[in-house]
Amino acid sequence: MIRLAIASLANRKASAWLTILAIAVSTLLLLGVERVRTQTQENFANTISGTDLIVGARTGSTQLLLSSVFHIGAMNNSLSWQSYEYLQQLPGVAWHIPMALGDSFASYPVVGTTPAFFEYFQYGNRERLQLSAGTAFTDAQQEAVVVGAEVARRLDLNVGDELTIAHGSGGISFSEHDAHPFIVQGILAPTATPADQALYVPLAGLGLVHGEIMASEHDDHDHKHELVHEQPVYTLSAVLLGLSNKPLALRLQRQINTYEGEPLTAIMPGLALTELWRTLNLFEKALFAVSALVVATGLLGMLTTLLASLRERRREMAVLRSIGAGPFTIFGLLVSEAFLLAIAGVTLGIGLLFIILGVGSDWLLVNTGMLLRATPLTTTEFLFAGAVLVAAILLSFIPAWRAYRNALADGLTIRL
Amino acid sequence: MGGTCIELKQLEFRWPGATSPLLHIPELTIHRGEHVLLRGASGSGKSTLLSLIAGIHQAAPEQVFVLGKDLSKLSQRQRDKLRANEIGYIFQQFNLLPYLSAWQNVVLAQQFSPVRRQRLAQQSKNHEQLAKQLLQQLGLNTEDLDRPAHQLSVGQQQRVAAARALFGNPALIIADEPTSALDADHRDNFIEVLFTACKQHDITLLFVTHDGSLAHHFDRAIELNEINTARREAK
Repeated sequence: MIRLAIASLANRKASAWLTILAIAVSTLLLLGVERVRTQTQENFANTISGTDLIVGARTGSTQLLLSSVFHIGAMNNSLSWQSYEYLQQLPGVAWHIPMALGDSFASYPVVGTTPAFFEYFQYGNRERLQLSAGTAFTDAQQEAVVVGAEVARRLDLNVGDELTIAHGSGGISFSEHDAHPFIVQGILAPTATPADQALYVPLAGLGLVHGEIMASEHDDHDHKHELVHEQPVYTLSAVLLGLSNKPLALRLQRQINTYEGEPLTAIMPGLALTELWRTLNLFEKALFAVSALVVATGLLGMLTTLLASLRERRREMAVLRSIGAGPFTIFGLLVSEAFLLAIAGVTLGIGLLFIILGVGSDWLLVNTGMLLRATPLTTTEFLFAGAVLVAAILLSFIPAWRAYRNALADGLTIRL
Repeated sequence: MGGTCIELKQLEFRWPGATSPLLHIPELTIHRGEHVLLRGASGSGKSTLLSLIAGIHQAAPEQVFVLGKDLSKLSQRQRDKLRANEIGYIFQQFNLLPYLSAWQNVVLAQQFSPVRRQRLAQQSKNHEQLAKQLLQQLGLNTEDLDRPAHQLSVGQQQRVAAARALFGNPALIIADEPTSALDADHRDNFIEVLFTACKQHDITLLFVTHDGSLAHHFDRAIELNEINTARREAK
């Protein structure tokens, strides 16, 4: 019967191919969206790792995460240098990375930090930052800048180039710190995280352009003098902390949140990321709904072709009836036809997905910073493909039922 | 070979919802091996009678017997099986699946019939070869055997249809106006070929037509209007 179905489909090549193509494209979209969704989530969770606490001025955890890790949005409040020094001496703190945000270069954020950033910052599966060219800056350097991979590529920056950063995060700023150009000293290797889209300068350099470098006599007298040495900047936006003893994080978080010197917020990045992702749920659901609708369109297309073909195939059905095919055989013939169309469509769709991922994933990473890998189908993806097949078979019951009814009513009369 | 092939006893058939019966045939017997012409004008109930005999539609009990079996006692599936095994059916035209070749259309006859396959197995396991032999016996050229059915002329198509009906030696062949799409020359030629084949395999032939001029070819010619009393009763 499958052989008959194949022969019959081959007879209607054009419409069969169109149907297969429609199903293939909708499968491609469904699986593609699912892949983008899961791998984006994965990449999202990979933006930062190894950091146990992120500390900033009192704010919401999402806002702190967005500004410190994703460089999205501005922090209204800042963290004083004294608080940073307090954080450094907390028990169990193994390393600390200060971050001063708020400046930009060609609308890419400029992050003021220390060499600790290159030493301790980790992303993905505990991977450290690598430099694709040049070197990281040291404490002594004030006018060096290390550029993220995407920034370097987009703006065509090379080691040795000079650039001037602007105050504020907008594209055009009227207060460019022209007096203090920075020299590109290193370029980071691509990470597929927001780290690619930022520039890193030493805190001292940032202080220099802001005119913040201060002598000890400018010290804030609310705080104890012995904590204050030479401060490169007045304030910081956030501090990343690594602990020597991970389970300590919870206790330390509480301690920081109740610090009396200044209202502070400490968040655990993993938890905050999950929370943030949950807020993006709606978007994710909308994407899924759209691709499900495309699949429905593809299958309805198949239904239409099958139903339309029934009228011209009454002859064929009568011939089959005359040689002893029962109405159920006719039913089965149509279902197997739909099955063949659907399985060809789904297979083609999966094939297309892998071709696109195989050929286009480098391009996607370079041009959009989206990391999609041609990994084997996940269980969920198999389930989706299976669901398309099952839906196709269920839908084919409609034309199959009509053919069955026709077969009973027409019998051996050939209607044209 | 003796015995009856088709037997109708007080057959009365009306379509659901119809007030008067379409068919009322007090008696009709066709013996095995007989070649019978059934003549009737269009609309006289020929097609309905054929579909009752072929087991597509069901009559009341004790009215239609084919090869000794009361068709009303068989299920739909059993009637389909009986048709697959023992009845070859030839339509007026469009007998073939256009996307299959001539010989593939012939081989189709055993698709739903294990009994035909058994009978064929006594001759040869190679169905393709058997089908091609049969087609050549019926006068098809060698080069036409592999051509798709829709490329064949109407006359050739009807021969392929006859070959499919004959393939695997059923007991009965029902031909529903198989020659009405053919011109006179082809018609006589086709009937001759069909006759020879039926005689050779001792197959009963029920040949239905509106054209009485073919009667001289047959053992017996039956006028449907004479055996069907439904019209007269209605008047």
